[in-house]
Amino acid sequence: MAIEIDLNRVYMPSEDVVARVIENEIIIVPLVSGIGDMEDEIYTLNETGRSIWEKLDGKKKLKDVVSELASEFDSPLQKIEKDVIGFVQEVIKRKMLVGK
Amino acid sequence: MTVANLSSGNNDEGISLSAPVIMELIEAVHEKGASFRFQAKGHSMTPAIRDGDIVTVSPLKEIMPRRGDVLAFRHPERPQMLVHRVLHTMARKYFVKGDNCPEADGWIPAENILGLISKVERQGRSRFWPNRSAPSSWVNFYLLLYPLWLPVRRRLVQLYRFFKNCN
Repeated sequence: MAIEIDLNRVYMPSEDVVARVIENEIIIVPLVSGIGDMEDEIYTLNETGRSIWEKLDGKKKLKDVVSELASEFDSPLQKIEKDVIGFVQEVIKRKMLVGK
Repeated sequence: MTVANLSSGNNDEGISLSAPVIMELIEAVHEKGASFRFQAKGHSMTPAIRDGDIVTVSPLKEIMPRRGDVLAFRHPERPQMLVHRVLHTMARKYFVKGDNCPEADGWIPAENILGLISKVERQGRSRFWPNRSAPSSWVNFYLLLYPLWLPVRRRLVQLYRFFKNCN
């Protein structure tokens, strides 16, 4: 079942992940039972994922994130919205993002 | 804008990370008070830690490394992370050496220490490893005897090879 995403909601990285920009790439390590586990799951984001992730700062509503990205990428709002929602669903499913 | 993509490191291809990246991740994870688990490469700590073993490196917090502990640390001169054993300690300096290395790494300053090896897993099983957060007399015994046992073991291996070649 797809996770419901509210564009009027503010989202932020979970306390249970460590995300770092290393060598121009975002690497996300989920902390499971107090352990960051490189042998289990570790994630990297592509450039688009990184652009979205960096804007999910716990301050902006998701619709504002979409608007900012639409102007930055000069892309139709609907297309950006679809991509952002898909990404947010994916990271929420992995408990890496939480709604405020 | 291309489609956002999240790549996972637990697939068959995995995500290959360099030593500097792993060191940065260890520090970031330790900042949250959590431990970090990764696969050891190399033979410098054989037989205690073998190539491919999974090691857990824990933040030092209030624990002061002591003789016999195995530490993960930044090499002072190279962009390299090593996992070697403490042989001597001095004020905020640790003399370390790989169990299977002919030469010691020398004195490593405390600021280069990334953490303490708190667990070693081999082929899916946890190996006996002294847990410094719950010290016991057995742990102290192990920590005391392990560095002393290594030269004896090396000598026994040499003798075994010698007699094997004689036959």
